[in-house]
Amino acid sequence: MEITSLKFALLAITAVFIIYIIPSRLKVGYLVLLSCGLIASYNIFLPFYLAAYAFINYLVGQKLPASKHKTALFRAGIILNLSQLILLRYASFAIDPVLEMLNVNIRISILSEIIIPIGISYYTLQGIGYLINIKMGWEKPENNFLRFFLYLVFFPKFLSGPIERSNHFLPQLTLNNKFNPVNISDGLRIALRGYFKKIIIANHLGAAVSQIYSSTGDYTGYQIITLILIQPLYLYFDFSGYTDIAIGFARALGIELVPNFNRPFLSENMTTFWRRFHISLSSWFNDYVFKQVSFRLRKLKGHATIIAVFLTWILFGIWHGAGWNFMVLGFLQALVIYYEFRTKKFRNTLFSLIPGYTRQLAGRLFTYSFYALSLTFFFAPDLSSVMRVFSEISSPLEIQKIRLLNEPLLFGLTFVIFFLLYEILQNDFNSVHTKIHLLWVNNKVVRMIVYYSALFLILTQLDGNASFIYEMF
Amino acid sequence: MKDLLGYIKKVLVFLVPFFVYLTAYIVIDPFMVIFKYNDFNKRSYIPKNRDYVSSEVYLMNRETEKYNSFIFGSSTALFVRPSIWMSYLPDTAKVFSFDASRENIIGIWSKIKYIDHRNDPIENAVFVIDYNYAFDKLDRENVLFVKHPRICHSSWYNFQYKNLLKIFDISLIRSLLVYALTNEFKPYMSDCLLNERSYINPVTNEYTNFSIQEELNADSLRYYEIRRDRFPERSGTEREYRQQITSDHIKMLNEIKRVFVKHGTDYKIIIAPNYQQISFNKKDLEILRSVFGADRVFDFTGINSISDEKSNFYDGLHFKPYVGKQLLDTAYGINLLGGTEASIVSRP
Repeated sequence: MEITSLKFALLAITAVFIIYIIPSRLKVGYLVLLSCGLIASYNIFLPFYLAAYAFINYLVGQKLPASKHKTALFRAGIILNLSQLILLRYASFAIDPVLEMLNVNIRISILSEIIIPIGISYYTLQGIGYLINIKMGWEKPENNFLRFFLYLVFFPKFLSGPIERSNHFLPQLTLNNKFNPVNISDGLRIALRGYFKKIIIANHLGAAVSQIYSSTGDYTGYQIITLILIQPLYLYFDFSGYTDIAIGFARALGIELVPNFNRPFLSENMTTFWRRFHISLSSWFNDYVFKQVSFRLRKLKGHATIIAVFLTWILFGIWHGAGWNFMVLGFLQALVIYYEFRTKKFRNTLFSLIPGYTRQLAGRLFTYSFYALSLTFFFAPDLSSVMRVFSEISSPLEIQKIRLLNEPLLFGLTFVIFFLLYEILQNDFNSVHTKIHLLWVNNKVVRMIVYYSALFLILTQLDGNASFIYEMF
Repeated sequence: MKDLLGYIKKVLVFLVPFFVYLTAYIVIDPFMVIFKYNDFNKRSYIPKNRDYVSSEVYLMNRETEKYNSFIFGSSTALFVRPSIWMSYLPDTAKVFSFDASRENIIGIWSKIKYIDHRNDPIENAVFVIDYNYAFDKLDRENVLFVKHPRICHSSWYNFQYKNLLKIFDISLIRSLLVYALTNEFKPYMSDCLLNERSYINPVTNEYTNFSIQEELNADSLRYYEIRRDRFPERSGTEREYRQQITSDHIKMLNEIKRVFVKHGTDYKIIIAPNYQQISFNKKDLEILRSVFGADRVFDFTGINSISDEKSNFYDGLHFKPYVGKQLLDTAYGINLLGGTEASIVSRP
């Protein structure tokens, strides 16, 4: 079932009202059932596989604190988690070519055709995070399997996150979740914003962006540069659209999910950018990879940071998929973040000569442009496509074959301007933002016009692309 | 609980405009897909799903009319008319045009299977194969081409959902409103409405477009002049379409043949001519001949006397009804034109 379908929206809204009718003790079971039903609509075997996966992690978590072989058990748990991830997600990239080289006539990637690994990158990180929390003593093991299973399969976040922390998610399930109309309205409003971002904006930008990789030769250099610069907007509105839908429905169901975005394009450097973009993933890698590796290699002093930064970001890149392009994507982020870390003092001194807002603006533009360029490694199907796109910039077509600014793209970009302007007001012009906010809160007519217009626009565009970019991970 | 009910009431009040819109859609049923109809000639300005119309007319009449002769195919099959085909068949033949827009082999197989499962006879059959769509994928998205859920055993919910979404199409809403208010057809409406006088026979499902014929009769030169883009320059050299028939298609074709043998059907497979003179793929043609028999497959694609003449076509694909008659003449071995079969058929 597609998240952007009317069917999903209506089911989710109905589910919201039912949860406040049924007795509290049945709520977790009800949400597990709903989540498994949705997952089964993608692949019938997947809920059973997930139940087995969750049970193993649950058992390891239970045994860990009192175990005599704590480290061995912990390592076994982590290896098990990573093995299933590699077998189901990276076999065609990492295992099958090796087997082929050894003349072994077995194709491991066939497993992923039986158990379609939807959401695997997300639930595996959640499983590993849980075990690390238990091992480090940051959290007590969960004693109720259903609650733990829900932590992994909760339907609003299952496909594309946010990547939840067990110590944030699980305690919420023990609280008595009473009917709260403000939470429900907030949740549905956030979900509506998510649908708007995806259907009205991302779908219209996406059609243009995907074209540069399928017919690179038909675009002039300027057109390619323009489309590269649109890439971050497309990714942001697509992914934050999904996140808003997930956070919105979860809130309406009485569960708060961790935030995933915080006005990322207003970041003045890449280090800040990654604290504001896909927060749940970057903070996961920061806490569970970067900090752990830095601590373990602390004897190496300065080298520990270099190794930790590059290892974290290359793994971050690989998390996105089995391909050299994703590795380069991670490597580029590592390079810039390490550069920013090493030159922080020097840059602060140098840039203090430039007036405040100019410095801020330049920083934002550089950060945005770097991210846009690096995203070519994200969207391109392989490294040769990246090279082709870059080479077409320098050897542009003389005559324009395709009109870039077509109606759908302009339609999407119009709403991008509204959203970005609002974020700038929120961030930089607090007094203006407060006035707009007051107008919004105190004026029911304005709210109704906006809601009805948004709903109507969404319905008119519902027939388009239904899948999200981050669904494939 | 009281709070919850109050909140649900508020949400329902908020949704009232959408309920009104939905109710209006159900009551008006603009695409004629919700209620049962004896006659699909109402609201002819709204394009309808031809597969749905054909299937509904068939389902409505099958018991009373006891059809036993069927025309299958895409919109090109509209010009092999039931009223003409009847004259080639025995008097007992009860003809029905079971065509659909962009029909492919999956659609044809579903229809034959459905007729067979109802134990209805199939004494005569004509397939009009359009090389563009006959072996293409099933279109599950476009509301005009989605298959009838009962015949194709697909989701009724999905079919209605696709139709429901269509009424939120802004250009359709605008065109319908303006047309309803002014009763005037404006140029921009041609993207979503039809400006033609047509008739669907409620028994044989024969589709006749009067407007197009009137336009041709009035000024045929102008007709072709304003449709220049539909008749692009031809190279005059032999070109062949890509190979399309897969092993799954072959299974389906064999199943169709099995049903025909079971029913003792007299069938003809007509591969429709096209103005572009692109030949049907040789390998595909061989497959069709090996499954159905070479004497039952008639290939009119490529360079031949029909495709040479622009005036034989309404556009690049759709030939005129008299051409349909010529094709039937060849298929039934009646050479009324006085020429040889080879003068029409590009490849023997």
